[in-house]
Amino acid sequence: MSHGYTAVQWNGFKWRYDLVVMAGIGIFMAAFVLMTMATRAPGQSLTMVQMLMRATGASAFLLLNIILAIGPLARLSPRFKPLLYNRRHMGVLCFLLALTHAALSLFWYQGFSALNPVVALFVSNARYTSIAGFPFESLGLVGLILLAVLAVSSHDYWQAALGPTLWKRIHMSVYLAYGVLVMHIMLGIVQGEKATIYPISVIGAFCLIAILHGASAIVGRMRDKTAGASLDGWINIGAPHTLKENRARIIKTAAGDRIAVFRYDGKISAVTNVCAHQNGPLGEGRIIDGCITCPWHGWQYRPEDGRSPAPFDEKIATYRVQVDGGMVYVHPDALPPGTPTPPAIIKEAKP
Amino acid sequence: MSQKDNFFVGYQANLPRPDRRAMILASGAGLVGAALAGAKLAVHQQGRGSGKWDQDKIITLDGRVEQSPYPVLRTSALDGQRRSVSLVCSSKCGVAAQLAQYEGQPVWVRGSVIERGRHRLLAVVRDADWLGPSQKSIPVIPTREEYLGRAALNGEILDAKCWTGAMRPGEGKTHKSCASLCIRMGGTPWFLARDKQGRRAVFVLTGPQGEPLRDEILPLVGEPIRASGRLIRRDDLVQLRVDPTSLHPV
Repeated sequence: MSHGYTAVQWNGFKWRYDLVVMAGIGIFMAAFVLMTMATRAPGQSLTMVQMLMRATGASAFLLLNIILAIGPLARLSPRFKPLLYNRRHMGVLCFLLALTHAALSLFWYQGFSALNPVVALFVSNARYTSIAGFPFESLGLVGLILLAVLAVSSHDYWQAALGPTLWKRIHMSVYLAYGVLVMHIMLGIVQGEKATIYPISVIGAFCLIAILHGASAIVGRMRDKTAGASLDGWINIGAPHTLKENRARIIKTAAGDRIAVFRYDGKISAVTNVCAHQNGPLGEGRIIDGCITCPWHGWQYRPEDGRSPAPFDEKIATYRVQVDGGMVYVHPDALPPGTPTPPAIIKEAKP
Repeated sequence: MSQKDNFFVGYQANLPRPDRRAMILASGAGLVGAALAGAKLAVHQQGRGSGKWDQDKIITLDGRVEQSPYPVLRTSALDGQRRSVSLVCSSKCGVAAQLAQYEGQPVWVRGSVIERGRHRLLAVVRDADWLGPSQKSIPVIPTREEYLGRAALNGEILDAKCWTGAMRPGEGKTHKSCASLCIRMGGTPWFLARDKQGRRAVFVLTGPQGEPLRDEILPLVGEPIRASGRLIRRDDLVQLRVDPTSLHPV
């Protein structure tokens, strides 16, 4: 949150998380290199540089797929939510692997001549109108630049400096990077190798990511409660006892806004469902220590005024709530972020 | 934790029990999956041939230089048999300019041998002392040419040094820009022909009259193409002489 910045606030969970990720990368690369050498006749293996080039490129792409799968998986099952917290570490590692892959490729294929390797990259193959000859390296360069922007701007400092909306838009370019890198692989190594496992793996991964995103979108829509009968413009969301204690119900207004209606300590408050941090679904979070806690990264807001507790100063929109005739009503017009709004008091006995 | 029950927040050092079980399972599956994926992707890569290049083993060969179409050293010094050893640069460059004054003359050349099958190349380090007139008596033996017939072949233009052993792999799409850069900077273009039975043969690629090819073939280097022309045996090297405008992608 916006009160000061430290590079990484480490704890035991984060250490273990990063350790597993780096062990996975190490195991993948070791298995790739060792099996490449073991399955070829003596003297017929790839050179070590070319093996590492392929191992780093493949592990970067594998990691990018895992990164993109975590979001929808966490929407589909809360068990995957812990994976979200250090996802940016995976993103930085993915960029570093891609950078290593690019540096090795540039050094090995474009180096050793009188031309600058970067110049050589663009002049050695200019067959942009051919599928068979397309300079797939240029697509890799575009993907690398996008990953670099994402890695550098992943720190909370940039989220605060750019604002959540712009920051989120920039980080949505991970999908552009993914598309570009899929084409980089399909027009590069997949064209060069004969085994069908390579196109099947890349296309399969692409389809899996698309299916996961589609499924999470469908589940998200199904979770949206249809706004009930209105009372002078107020939305009826049902009896108080139908709301779980310290949890929220998410409703979607006619205008398409999602509101998270929380029940806690005999009271009901409503705030926007969108976290100021990374647009996380606040309604899937819960009340902890009196604050709404985002399930994605733990950002917190007081339910009565949508403000983060001191010393933080984030604010989210609040909504008016009332209980009338044993039913909870929410007004669909958002109040400015941080506006104090009296919670509705539940008078009935707890079920 | 009573208020938080099974709800994990990122700043907590420990996971709730159900999340912990799920993460342990996911970690185990991820690590096993990483090993299997790495191994599976590795074993299906194509073979890379038996090219060898020991750059530390520098030898000196005596012989006569022939410049056209591409630099070779006619020598028996390698293994007692009369061979045409292609002269190439250790890096991405050519050696033709330095050899021009020695055309047909006896010379000594220093470099490291790159070999693949029956093919032998000598990679010289241009910035070192690598070339000079030989004092040895080297007989002049006229070059023998033999017309082998016409051929229409599917295959790929590649750089002789990369394919023979400087790169593994030194062919295919991922190597296209490297091969193109090598040939642009003075490397020797060869044509690797492949048939449907998987048989492979390499030829020195030249113009219709045996002249060198360079800029006109660069766009098609490293791509599957069809080449039609005459096969000419020139001593122990076979040339594929083509009109470069007739080369086309397949």
